[in-house]
Amino acid sequence: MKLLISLSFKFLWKKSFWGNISTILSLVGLCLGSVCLIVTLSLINGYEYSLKKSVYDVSGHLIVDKLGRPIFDNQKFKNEFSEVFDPKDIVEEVPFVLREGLVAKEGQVRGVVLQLQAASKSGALFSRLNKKIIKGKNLSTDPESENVGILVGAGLAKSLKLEIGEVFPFILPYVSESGDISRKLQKFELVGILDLGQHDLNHRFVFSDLNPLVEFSGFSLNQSTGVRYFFKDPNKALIYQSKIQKLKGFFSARTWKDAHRTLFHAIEYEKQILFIVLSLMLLIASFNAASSMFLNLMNHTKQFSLLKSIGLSSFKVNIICLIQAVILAAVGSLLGVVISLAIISGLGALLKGGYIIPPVVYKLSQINLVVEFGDVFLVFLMSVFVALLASIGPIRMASKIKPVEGLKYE
Amino acid sequence: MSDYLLKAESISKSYFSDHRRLPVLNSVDLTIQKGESVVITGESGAGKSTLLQILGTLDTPTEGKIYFEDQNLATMDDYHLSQFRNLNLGFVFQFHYLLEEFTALENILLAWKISGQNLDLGRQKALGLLSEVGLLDRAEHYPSQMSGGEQQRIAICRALVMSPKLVLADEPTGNLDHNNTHQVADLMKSLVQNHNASLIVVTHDLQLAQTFPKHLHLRDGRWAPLIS
Repeated sequence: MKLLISLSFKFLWKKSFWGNISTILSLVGLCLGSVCLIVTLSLINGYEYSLKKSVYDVSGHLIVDKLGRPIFDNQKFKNEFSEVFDPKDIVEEVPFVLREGLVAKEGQVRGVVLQLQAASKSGALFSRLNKKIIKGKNLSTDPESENVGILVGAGLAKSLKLEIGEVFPFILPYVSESGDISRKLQKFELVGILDLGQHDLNHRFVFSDLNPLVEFSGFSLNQSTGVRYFFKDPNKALIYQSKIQKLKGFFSARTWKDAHRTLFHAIEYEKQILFIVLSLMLLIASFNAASSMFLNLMNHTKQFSLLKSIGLSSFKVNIICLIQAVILAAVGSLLGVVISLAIISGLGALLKGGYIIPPVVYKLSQINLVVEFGDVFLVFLMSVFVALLASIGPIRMASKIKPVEGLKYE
Repeated sequence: MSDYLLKAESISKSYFSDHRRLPVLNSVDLTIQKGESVVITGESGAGKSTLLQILGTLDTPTEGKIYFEDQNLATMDDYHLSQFRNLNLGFVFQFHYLLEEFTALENILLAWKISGQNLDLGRQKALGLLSEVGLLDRAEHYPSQMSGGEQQRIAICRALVMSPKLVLADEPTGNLDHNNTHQVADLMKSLVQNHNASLIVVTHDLQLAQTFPKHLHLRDGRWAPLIS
């Protein structure tokens, strides 16, 4: 075997650059095919990841409510699900209140969603929100402040030119039991500006603490619009959703996927289609590898004939060609992986800066490149497979080499 | 146990071109005894190289049988024929066909490595042969660093490293100048004799042929009497 490996290497790689040009071009072809596949898949993964993350962080992994009606007793509501959820899966469960209202400044009015949390300030929800603060501070209660603190999305802050420390009114429409429409007014102090990851969320969402706003919101501390669940594994949300849907009662459960169901499906399909299309590039590259192997074989017909005359069987000649194909495939694909990772790290910085794709196009504040090693491994295997497929022709040709033909002295 | 080494019976070989049959060998018989040296001469196209290739199992006859120590070579598949060539035959061609990517020693050891035998033993044997041909100091040299005569001597070492029972040489001196022709031919004959092998040489060099104890002549694919 050592001899076969040595022959494979020596026949494949010459001492001069121009002698190796065909091998080099094959390697470049396979390498570029792998690069295209890995970088494209990383872009799609990154888009999916950014979208998921922006959804998780604001909405949680699962929202459970009573078909849009208020929950009048949070504790009773949680008890009803005590057998559905495994406490080991849950990171945090947060009752929340959603109220739609208006924010006004200098004649400008914006419709916004006020999200009030009764969550622990050190819990999962607030720690996620705190990480998104791009200006100002978090919602920690300041006993000296007269106003209630609020966090607003960066888009809203920009459009209303809101500054940290500024106090502005929030107008909440209110319908009395008799049906009269009136309004409630609450002044908030802007403590922090958030980048929520999505264009819409940044323009529409504001966050505050439920405790000081019980009266204003019309909810008590034990009441809520719904409960958000954060799991250790976001995919558990889908399992719990299906369990809840089977329960008798007026419950509704929406996962992070439901928020952008069609978009997530589109990403999934896009990923599959791009994988197929870009795999064709690898297939084209494999023709290059096949042509290089044919050329190499033709250049070494005399040598193979001599080796056959001194006892090398056709099977072993095939093994030499196979080793050459494996070397080409492995080196080309490995180079592709290394170059892809280098490109991804460089491209990542450019994407974060919004120099290549303006994130607003995709309604995200930032697009990341995410390398999934399963994808990289799949591309590597695919590339090796395609190169081996390309070696079938040269191998068949090699086994048919007749020593007499190669050893004719001209 | 046969008393002969190789026996060819009624060997015929024809090529087909444009539905026309082109006969090259026509019912040729040949028997080679153990330790015997034979030279085959003939004009270009007489079929001498084709006969040598058939005897060396590099080509197949259209008709006829070849026995090597009573074993019918036609019954062997590619794997066994390769093994047979590796263990029993040594080839010397007009051109040396040394692999440019390997040193002289590595070239000589190729057949040994294919056989999978102990490499240290093979190396000793190869160095011994290099010493016999006077090229011990060239062991680590590449073919491109050697002269034509030296390259052919390395090719002879390569043919003998497995101690074959039969050495087949096709115009072994056809590519050499006058001085080298005699040196290489004498060296090959004495080495083959020292290693107790039989030798079949194909040449059109009648001067060289005269130095062999047994001389056969081919004309139009058949044995023909020598015309002096």
